[in-house]
Amino acid sequence: MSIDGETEMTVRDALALALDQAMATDDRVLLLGEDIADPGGGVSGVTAGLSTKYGTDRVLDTPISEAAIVGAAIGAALEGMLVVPEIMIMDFIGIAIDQIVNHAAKLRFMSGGRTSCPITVRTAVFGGLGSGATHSQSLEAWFMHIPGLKVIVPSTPRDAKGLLTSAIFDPDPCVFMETVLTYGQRGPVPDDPSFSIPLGEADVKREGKDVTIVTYGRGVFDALTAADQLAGEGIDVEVLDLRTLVPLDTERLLESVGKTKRAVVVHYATTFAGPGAEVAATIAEGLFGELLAPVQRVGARFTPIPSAQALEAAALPSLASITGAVRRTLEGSHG
Amino acid sequence: MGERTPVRIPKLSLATSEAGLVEWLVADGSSVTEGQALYVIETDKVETEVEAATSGVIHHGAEAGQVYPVGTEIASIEAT
Amino acid sequence: MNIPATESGAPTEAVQRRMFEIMTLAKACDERLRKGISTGEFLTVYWPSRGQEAICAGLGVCLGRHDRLVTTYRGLHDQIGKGVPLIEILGEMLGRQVGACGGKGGTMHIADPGVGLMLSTGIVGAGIPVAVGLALAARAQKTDRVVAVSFGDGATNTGSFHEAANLAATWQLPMILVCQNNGYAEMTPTVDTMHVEHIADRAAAYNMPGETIDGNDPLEVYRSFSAAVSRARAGGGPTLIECVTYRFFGHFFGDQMAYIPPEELEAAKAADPVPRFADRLVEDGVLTREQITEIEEDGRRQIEDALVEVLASPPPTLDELDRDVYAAAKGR
Repeated sequence: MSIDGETEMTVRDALALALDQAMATDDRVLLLGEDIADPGGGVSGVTAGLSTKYGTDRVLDTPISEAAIVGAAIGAALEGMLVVPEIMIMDFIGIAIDQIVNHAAKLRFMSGGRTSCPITVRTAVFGGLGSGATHSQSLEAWFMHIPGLKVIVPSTPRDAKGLLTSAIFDPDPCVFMETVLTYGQRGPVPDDPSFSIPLGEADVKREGKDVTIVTYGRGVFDALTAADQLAGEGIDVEVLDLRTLVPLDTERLLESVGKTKRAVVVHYATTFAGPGAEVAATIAEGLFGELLAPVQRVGARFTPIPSAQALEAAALPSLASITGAVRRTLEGSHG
Repeated sequence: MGERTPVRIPKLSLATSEAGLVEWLVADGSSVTEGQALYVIETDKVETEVEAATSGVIHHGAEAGQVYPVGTEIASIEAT
Repeated sequence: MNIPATESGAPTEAVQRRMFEIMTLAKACDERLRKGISTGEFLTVYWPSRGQEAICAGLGVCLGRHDRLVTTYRGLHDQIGKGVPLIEILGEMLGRQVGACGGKGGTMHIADPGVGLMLSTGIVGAGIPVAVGLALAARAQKTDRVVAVSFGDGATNTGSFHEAANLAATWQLPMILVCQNNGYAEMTPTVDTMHVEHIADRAAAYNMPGETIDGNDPLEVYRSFSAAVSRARAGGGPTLIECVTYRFFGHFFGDQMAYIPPEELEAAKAADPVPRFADRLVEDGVLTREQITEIEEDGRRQIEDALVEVLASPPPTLDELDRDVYAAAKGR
């Protein structure tokens, strides 16, 4: 039901809406992936209905061939098609990584601008579901490290719709990382079919003055819950949703942490050599001397993600570890 | 004085970034013809004779017995 | 040019002449490059395709300008065959602004979409999946374009090849898969890398037509390529063509070739496809010996003319470092 030009829906529905509207408005949009056509509609149901509506010429089921799926997406993109290949579970992206890193990311540069790859690799993190180490990883750091790629991690339904729309029509190759455990999160999405959110813009999801939690994707929901709890302790948390990791909105990041002077980075990738390291270094470079505490990072433990429920929970960020990190930034500070 | 063509240490292999100039095969100031062996270089214990790309009078610009980065100008050939 | 085969699948005299011109130009370009690199005149990296000229001549005459080609780092001959201007090829190899990619891609990554050369890749086997995508687009965009992808024997052992060949056959895409089997995968004899005798036999695994041909016989290459291109264009799906050939200079320029038996190399050079085709053209009365010589001299002249422009062109400016990383000039 539409209220004030917006409709409440889940993240899953918002992603589906972005794909649907992109396909409706532009013939160049082509989807490739395992089980994405009907009746399957994708393992997570994001592409449900699309092959029925647009035909199996535009929504292609592929064999289990990640390298060829992404390679073919690149080839079609070289001819001007806007291709959205799906890598069902992010842990499988290693099979396709040669094409992503050595072709998609580099062809514009290596060709001196004569060819380019407007692909959007959609992939989903299955962490937190007890699936075990080869079906649980959050691997965005791999792609942040490759010049030529854009890396996008949406949180809310509004952001999911807006960012996926931008990614699909972006002339550069994008890795668009979804998280299964957030697919059910609800929120308003503008009805305007052309609604999109520019890449490279972080978003303050909650204003605060004491400490900034810098996060993205699933971490945003954890951070908001942590902020509510900490508010009861008199701690006012600002939640900055990065939304895009590459290009990174350094300006907004330094503006927020410049205000609060304390930062905690939260993500589901491992803490060690994770995206938080880049964020922390950026904060240190930009605000050294102004910070009231070292930047804290809360990520996954440096271990393969275990399957048993309690063990997995202990390996991943939790309300306790996030609130604990926030409190650490306030200990013994001279602010 | 004629046009001078630089003589540079060649990159003879994928992984080569430097080479040793083992010995000159032609004297400084002598006449050389295109295709004539000018000097010997050594990379990875392999010695190779390097030929002249053009004809003319050769002017040495570097000493034998030293290692030089690939691309270093070690002589020039003056067209006559 | 795309000239239909005569009924017997044999090329017309005009096509034979064109094939010889391409082969001669590729041979001459290789010779000029090796001379330049070995004397220190040129500083570049190079993976010689000398010996494989009949194959690129087949690509040159059997593919139309609008048809697509994907090739590899050993792509000089293919690029010449497809019609990439010499200035762009040599300019790119020598790191100049006139190069196909402005000097930013180098020898391995020459691209010229204007003549249909969509990709040269440095990753063995990685071109075939991209070719699948080009063919997918050819169909989606309702064109009659055919996509040829060139790769070596070694590439057929990669997972990429397998995935892409399967996809090409399953989706019946308009492609020709040209395996240039030169007997060595990098520095290992092909026979030590696979248990099958003929790479074309691998096509059966995908239920795709496959044939092994003498890749050094231009007329045989023409027969095979033109039939496969026609099949693809008519909607008959992909073909795997194994072109048995030989490379005269090892894997990379400077390769000492210690792993190649000298007598094998000598025999291959004695059967050099370029002078052998010249002899045949004269015997068959297609060209006179004088015309052969003219074509050879013209080829050398074209190369020297191109080099004048290339050597006068500056290297890319430093600001090019930030350009084309993303679509926006300073995207990041």
